[in-house]
Amino acid sequence: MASTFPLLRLPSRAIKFVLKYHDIAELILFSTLSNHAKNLVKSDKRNALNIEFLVCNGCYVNLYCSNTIMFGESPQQECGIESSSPCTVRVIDRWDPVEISFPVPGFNGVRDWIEHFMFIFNYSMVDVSFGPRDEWKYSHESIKKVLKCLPIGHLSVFENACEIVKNFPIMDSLYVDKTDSEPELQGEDLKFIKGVLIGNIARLEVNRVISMDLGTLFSFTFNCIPQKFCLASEKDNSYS
Amino acid sequence: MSVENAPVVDVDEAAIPVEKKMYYRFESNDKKEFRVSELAIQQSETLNRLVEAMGYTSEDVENKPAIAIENIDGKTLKLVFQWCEHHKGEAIPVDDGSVPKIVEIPEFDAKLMDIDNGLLFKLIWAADYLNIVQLLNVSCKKVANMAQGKTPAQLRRVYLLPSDEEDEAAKRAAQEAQDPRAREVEEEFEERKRQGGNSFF
Repeated sequence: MASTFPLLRLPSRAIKFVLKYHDIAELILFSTLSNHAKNLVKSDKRNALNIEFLVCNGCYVNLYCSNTIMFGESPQQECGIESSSPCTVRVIDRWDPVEISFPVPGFNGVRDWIEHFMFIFNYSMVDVSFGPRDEWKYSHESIKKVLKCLPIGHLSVFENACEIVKNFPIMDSLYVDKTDSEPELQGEDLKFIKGVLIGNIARLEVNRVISMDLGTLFSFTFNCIPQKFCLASEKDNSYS
Repeated sequence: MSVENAPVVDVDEAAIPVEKKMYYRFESNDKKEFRVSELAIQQSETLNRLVEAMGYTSEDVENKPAIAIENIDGKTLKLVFQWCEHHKGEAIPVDDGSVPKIVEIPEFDAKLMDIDNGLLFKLIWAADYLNIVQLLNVSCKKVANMAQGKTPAQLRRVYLLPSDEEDEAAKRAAQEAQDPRAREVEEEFEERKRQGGNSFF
């Protein structure tokens, strides 16, 4: 029989020391064992730099230490976004080529892990990047379910900007791009996206043509002046 | 230096050192006595402050009773003092509690800690109580190493981690043991609520 050690009966400083010497993979596994364990790992303060949900690639948790955690990368093969089978987590270290991967029973979908990592790595928002539509790994509905009620820090959209922005409210920053084949925004879509841009978004980057008059442009409330606006038409005094 | 040759001395089995260094006498809770050099004591912030505050002379050390360390037994204290003697004069790490550090367990320490987990547990408690940061570092590193390559189920077994349900049951039991009347009041309140009463009193 393997030897045992009553970790939680140690003085609190010693428990912190023990956790400090666990690598990230061990800490993640430890944090899944109980709420108490989860809180201990949170208090170890291995904070995340960001948590990204890249719809074309999967989820990434970048930590201030040299580790990156990846999951939900291959939905078709091993863990659908709402799968009932455990979702594999990969941990890589920038300075160490050894990669560790493991599933944890009970942590089935991407959502389970996102919420768990937001908690234990003290990061309150998810950055979401949609990318070109034909490269999405998940359906729009699945993504809505996964991100439901989660605060989105940075939202990055390439196509269907209106549809996405309507469904995923942004907390912090927005990046809007387009593919060559996508038509320019018109009618209701143009009106909607202008409304979003005028809204209270702290950081904004627009890499596509969105026509608007100077008055609208000057009514923007964000702190950071957008870099990618260019003069579209001098005749009607509008910028795009 | 090997563990066996570390210069911690049990009073009843060794001669008084011939060096003109100051050696303090300490007594464990099972009445075992140890002589420990002044330099070695510096590894322990707690003991170092204690002896500084006492201001003993060499004569005091010999004539006054040994300093009692009441919550550590002789077996554990012997390991602690062996460690302190081996590492005497070494820089003492600052415990800022924030940055993860890479700690290698030196050969001497690995041999010293080649002990059962019960004694390792006591050693960590002693290192924490006596505030010996580097001993705490290496002993906790040894405990952390127990997690290497383990599955969640194995990790739970190794660290004896209770599940949420077990935690909850233990919490309830502790509350009941502390205040059985509070539980009765709570049950009475729940019963009244079920019966549709608005007022408890």
